Amino acid sequence: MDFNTWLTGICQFLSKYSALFLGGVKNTLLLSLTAGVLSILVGGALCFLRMSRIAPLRWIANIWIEFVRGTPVLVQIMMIYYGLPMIGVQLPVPAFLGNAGERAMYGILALTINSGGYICEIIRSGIQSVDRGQMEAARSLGFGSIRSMLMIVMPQAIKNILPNFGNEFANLIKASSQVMIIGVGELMFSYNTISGTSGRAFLPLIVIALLYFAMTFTVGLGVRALERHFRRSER
Amino acid sequence: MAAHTMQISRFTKKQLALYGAPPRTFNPNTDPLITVLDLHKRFKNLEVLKGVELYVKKGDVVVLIGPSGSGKSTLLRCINRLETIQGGDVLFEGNSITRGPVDLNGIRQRIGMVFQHFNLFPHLTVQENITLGPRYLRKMPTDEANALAERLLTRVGLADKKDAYPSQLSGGQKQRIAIARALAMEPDVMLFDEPTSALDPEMVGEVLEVMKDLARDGMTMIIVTHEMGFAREVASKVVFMADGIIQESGTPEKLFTHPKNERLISFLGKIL
Repeated sequence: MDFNTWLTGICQFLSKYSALFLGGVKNTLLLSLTAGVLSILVGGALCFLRMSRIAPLRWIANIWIEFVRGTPVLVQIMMIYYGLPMIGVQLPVPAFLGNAGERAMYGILALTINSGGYICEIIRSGIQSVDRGQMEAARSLGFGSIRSMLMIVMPQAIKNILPNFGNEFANLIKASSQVMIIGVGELMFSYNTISGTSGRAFLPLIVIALLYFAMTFTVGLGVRALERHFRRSER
Repeated sequence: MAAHTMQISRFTKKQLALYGAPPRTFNPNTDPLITVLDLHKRFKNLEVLKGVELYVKKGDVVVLIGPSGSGKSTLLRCINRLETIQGGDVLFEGNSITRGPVDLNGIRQRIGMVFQHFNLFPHLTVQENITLGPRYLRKMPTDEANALAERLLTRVGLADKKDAYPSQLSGGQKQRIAIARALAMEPDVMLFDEPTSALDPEMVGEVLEVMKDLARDGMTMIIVTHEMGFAREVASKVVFMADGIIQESGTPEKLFTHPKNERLISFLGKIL
């Protein structure tokens, strides 16, 4: 097989399956973005519990975080997918998810629960990286704890938090490949379809690896730009 | 006075919640602004304060001295409740700040605090650091707050620094800004927690000057410091602490020239 026919073969393969690949990319991004936004909300709320003065609330957050960190994402996804219907929970399906929306919702929920745990820890460590004296100074001026947090601590903590949000988002993109197991048509699922119909195992794998890499690398570039920006504005 | 207030400190939180704090009249000319009664503070198993009693009247300049670990800073931090206490009580204008219904934020607005490590807000300019309290807590209009900041900056000799960020300032300048920030709330009393201990030696003088100026203007101050010359000059009362209790207190003259307590004599012998 000479080089030209080899290259033509690859080009034909790519053009034939490009729609499937790109559809997978689109769904992966949709899944990750939705779960990403939700996990910031969930993580923030979880962080409130985690740093609460009320012990049982802290326990809830701790159990959540330890569970998320101590078990595989795949197990978490399957637990949500099989577990929720067993206890009779129906998830609402927003229109933008299309006709495979219900499975996707389980996937998004599982990824949100997972990522929310990590986001909580990112926010917490960001807040704790701010010198305790900042809180004390704000409180001693007479600001309440919430206002001190919002006006003094958070603006400083955000420099540590935002870049790590980016890193977590890249992790989320990679972790989203595992919702394939419950039949959500994202990029990894596209691979399965393509390798099955084309009979080629390795070539599509390289393609999706490159696609995943392109996505996470772009996020990584954003993170580094953000870090540079914060370092420059550090006075 | 002592008997009267001691009685209050025997009320439990539950009783106060049920019956409310007993009514009292506060006479600013005769009653202490700040009263510390039988104060006990523990960090885990380490007892830092073992029953401290202190009265600070309006216009007093009380200087706390003593070896490190003696509980001076902790005492100061208990006065605006940056630390929780395990026993005794702290009264501000005769009312407990640790028991019963307390408007803690309101009281803290009236107690200025200056920290060893300045704790300026690094993401805000000098002017914003100073005006933050008045603008948000006093609802002062921005232009009025800015004028106030300018007056205070002139007072501490840093009028040209209003648009600088804290990281662009020297330690001495930072501490003077921190004093201006506390003054912006027009407090009734100022607490200084080792304000010159983190400074290079050549910057200590400029901060002490500002503090002397404040003392001359009649500000009530409680100061933890190792600057004995300063203590001698401005204090109306010097308090020597060691091992979590007040060992001796009185006028600077009495403490520095005729010390009686053994610990104080050896402490002064080491540092003078």
